[in-house]
Amino acid sequence: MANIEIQIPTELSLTKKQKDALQKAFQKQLVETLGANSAAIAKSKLMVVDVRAKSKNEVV
Amino acid sequence: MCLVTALTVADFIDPDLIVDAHVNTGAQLGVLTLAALLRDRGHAPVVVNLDDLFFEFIGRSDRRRATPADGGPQHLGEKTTRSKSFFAFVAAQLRPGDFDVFGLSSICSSYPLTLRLANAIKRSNPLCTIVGGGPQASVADVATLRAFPSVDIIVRGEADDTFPTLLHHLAHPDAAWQRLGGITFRRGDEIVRNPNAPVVENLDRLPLPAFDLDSRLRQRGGVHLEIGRGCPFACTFCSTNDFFRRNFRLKSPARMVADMSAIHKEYGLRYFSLVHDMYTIDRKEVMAFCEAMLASGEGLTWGCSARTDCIDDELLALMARAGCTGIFFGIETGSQRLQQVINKQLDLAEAKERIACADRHGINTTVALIVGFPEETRDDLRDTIHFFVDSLRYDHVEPQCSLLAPLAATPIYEQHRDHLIFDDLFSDMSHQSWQQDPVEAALIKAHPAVFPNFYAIPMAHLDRREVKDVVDFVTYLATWFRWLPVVLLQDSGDLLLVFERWRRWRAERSPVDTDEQIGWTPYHSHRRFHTDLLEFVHACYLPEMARANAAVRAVARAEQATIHQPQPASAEATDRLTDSTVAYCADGLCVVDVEVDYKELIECLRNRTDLDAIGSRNTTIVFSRNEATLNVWQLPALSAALLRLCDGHRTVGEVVRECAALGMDVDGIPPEKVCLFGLMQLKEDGFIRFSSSTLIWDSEAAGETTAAYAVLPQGSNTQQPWPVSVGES
Repeated sequence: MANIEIQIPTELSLTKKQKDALQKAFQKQLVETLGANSAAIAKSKLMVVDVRAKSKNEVV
Repeated sequence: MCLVTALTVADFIDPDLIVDAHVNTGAQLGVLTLAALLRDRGHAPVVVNLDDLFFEFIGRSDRRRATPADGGPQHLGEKTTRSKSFFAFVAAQLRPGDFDVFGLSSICSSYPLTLRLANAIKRSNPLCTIVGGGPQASVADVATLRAFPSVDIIVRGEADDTFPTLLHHLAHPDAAWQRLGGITFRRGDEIVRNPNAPVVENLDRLPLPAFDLDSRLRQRGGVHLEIGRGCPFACTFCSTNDFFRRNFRLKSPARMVADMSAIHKEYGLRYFSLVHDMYTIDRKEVMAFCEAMLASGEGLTWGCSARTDCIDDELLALMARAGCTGIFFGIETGSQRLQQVINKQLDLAEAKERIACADRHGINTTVALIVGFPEETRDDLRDTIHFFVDSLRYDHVEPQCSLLAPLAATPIYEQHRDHLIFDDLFSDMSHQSWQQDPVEAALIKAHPAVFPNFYAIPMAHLDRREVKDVVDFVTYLATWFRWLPVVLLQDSGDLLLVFERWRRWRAERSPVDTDEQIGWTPYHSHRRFHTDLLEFVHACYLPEMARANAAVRAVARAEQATIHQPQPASAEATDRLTDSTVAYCADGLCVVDVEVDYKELIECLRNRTDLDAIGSRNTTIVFSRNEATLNVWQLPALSAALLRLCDGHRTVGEVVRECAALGMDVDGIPPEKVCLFGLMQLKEDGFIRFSSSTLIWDSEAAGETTAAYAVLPQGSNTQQPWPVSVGES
C-alpha cells in the first residue's frame, strides 16, 4: 500500500497569547559572535605558515 | 640601476596561505620612496620585489600540495631544499649584467639571503657596484663589509638624500662620493665609516612612494603609508630608535590625508596602515589628523602604533570616530619589574585600561609581548603569559608573544654581545623558516656580528628551551581555542603551573610523535596539539587541578566540538513540510551539551568574576556559521530537545509523535502544535533544513575531518592589525 502523505498546515491556528508563549519557549540567546579574526574561524582553515610578528624593521 | 627589496615573507608551505600572508607584508616603503626620489632625478630604477618572487616561486612548485591524510603537507622535510632553490631562482631572475648599480635593502631575518644574493650578483658582474641599505645593513655595516667583499658601500639610516646623491657621484670618475655623510665603504683593506648624514627633518618634502611598482598593491587589503619617523624612547631591545636617530617627526595632517585620498582614488584601497614606531606622542597632531579625516568625509580606515602611556580614552574615542580600526601596543613584558629593566617603563595597570578602552571602541588591538630577557625570572615569565591570556578576554584584542632576539646595535645587544650563544631556538623575530637554510646557517655561524639576531642572550634564571616551549604553548593555545586558555588561567591562578603539568603529562605518555610523524609541521601548530591538550584537560587537569570543574569541562567540551566538521550527506532539499519530510541539522552546525549556564560562564570569563558563582544546569549551545563569523547560541530546553531529534533519519511525523510522548507542553498548547512551531522556528533560525527523503551519508567522506591539520597563530606581522576583510573600494 502506498504511503499517504499528510500535508502539515503551516498555519497552526494559534492565539496571540499562545504564539507569544511559544516564541518565549523557543527563544534562543546569543552568547557571543566570534569574528573572522578569532581562532574559532582560523582553525577551520588550512593554515600552516607562521607569519607572526617579525621585526618592526620590515616596514622601513 | 636595480633596487632589490628585502624578503619579508617568513615561511612558505601552502601557496594559498602565502596569498594570505602576502596580503599584509611587502610594505617596502623605503625602497619605493627611493624609487620615487630617483625618478624625480631622471633615473628609471627597476625594483625587484623578493616577496613577489617568493610568491611566484612557490606558485611554480608542484611539491606544495598538502596530503591531509597524514595531517600535513607533503615533503615538508624538503623545506631547506626549497629555500636553497629559492635563492637560485632569485639569482637567476636578477640579470646582474643589466645594471651598473644594485641597491639591496635589508632586514634582519632575511639578511643572510640578501648577502648571498650580493655574492651571486658580484660573481656574475664583478664591475657592478653593490650598495647595501636598510635597517640591518645600517647597524651591521662594518661587520658586513669586513665579511662580505661583494658589498661595496653601505648607506646607513635614512637613505632618501644620501642614496640619490651617491648615485650621482658614482657616475663621475672621481672619489667625491667618499666624502658623503652616512656611508660606510671599503678603501683598500680599510673600512671607512663616515659620520652620520642628517635625518630628513621635513618629511612632507618626500614624494609618495612609487606604489605603481608594487604589482600586487591592488590585491592587498590596504596599504602601508609612512607618516613619520623616530621614536624618542630608548627601550633596550629596540633597533629602530637607532635607525631614525630617536628624532621624532611627523608628516603634516594635511599631507597624510591628501596621500590617503590620492591612494584611495588611484588604487581603490580604503585601509591604511600608518607606519610610525610611536605615532601618538604628539596628541595635538593626532587630534588634528583625526579632525582632518572626519572633515574629509571619505570614511577611510587606518591603524597605527602607540604606547599605552601616550594615549588616553578621549583620544582613542576620537581616533575610532576618525576611522582608526587597528592599533598596535608594544607592551613587551607583563612584569612590572622587567618594565623598568628593559627601560620600557609602562604602568601595566594603565596599559590594561587603555587596551580595554580600545576594545570598547571596537579597535582591533595587537598586544605585543616578548619573553627571554636575560634577567627574566619565573615570576616575570608567568606575569607575561598571564598578561597575554588576560588579553584574550577582549574580542578585539590579539596578543602575540615573541622570543627575544638581540638585534644589532641595540643596548641589550651591546651589553651582551660577548656572551651570545647559538642554539636552534630562533626567535620568530629572526627566522626565515621553521628550519634555517643550511647555507645560510653556516653564514650565521661564521659571522655573529653580521647576524646577531639569530643568536641568543643566555638567561640567568630560566632554561631558554623551556621558555620557547611556553611561548609556543600559549601562542597556539590562543590560536586553537577561544576561551580554554582564559578558563585555565582563571581556574588555576597560575598558567605556568598548568604548562609544567602539561609537559610532565606529555612526557609520561609514550611514545611522543616525532616531527616526521606529524609531517614536519611544528608540534604546536599541528592538530595533534589540539587533541592532546583536550585530552590533558580531561584526563589530568580536571581530576588533579581543577577547582571550578564544571566550568572548565564546559569550555573544553564546547571547544572540542567546534573543531569537528560535520559529515557530508546527500539531501533532497525541500521547503514543503509534510508528515514524511525529514528534518536535519544545517551544515556547519555544531551542537554541544554542557552542565553550566554557558552564557553566564562566558560573561564570567570576560569580566573575571567568580567561576564558582556560575549556575549549574544542563544547557545546550549551538555554534552556527554566518559567512565570516561564528555565532554561539544558548538554546532553551525545548529547542534543544527538538534539535536532537532532527537527525536526518526521523520524519517530521516521527518527531512530532516523539515530542508528544515526551509531553512537550507549553501553556496547555497541544504538543503537536508546540513541536511544529519549534521546527519552523529552528528552520527560520537556520539551525535545521528539510529534505524530502532520508539523508544519505557519504561513507567515504565520513569520519573526523581532515581539513584543519594546522593553524596560523593569530598574530599580525605588521605593526598594526590588518583589517579582517580584504576591503576594496
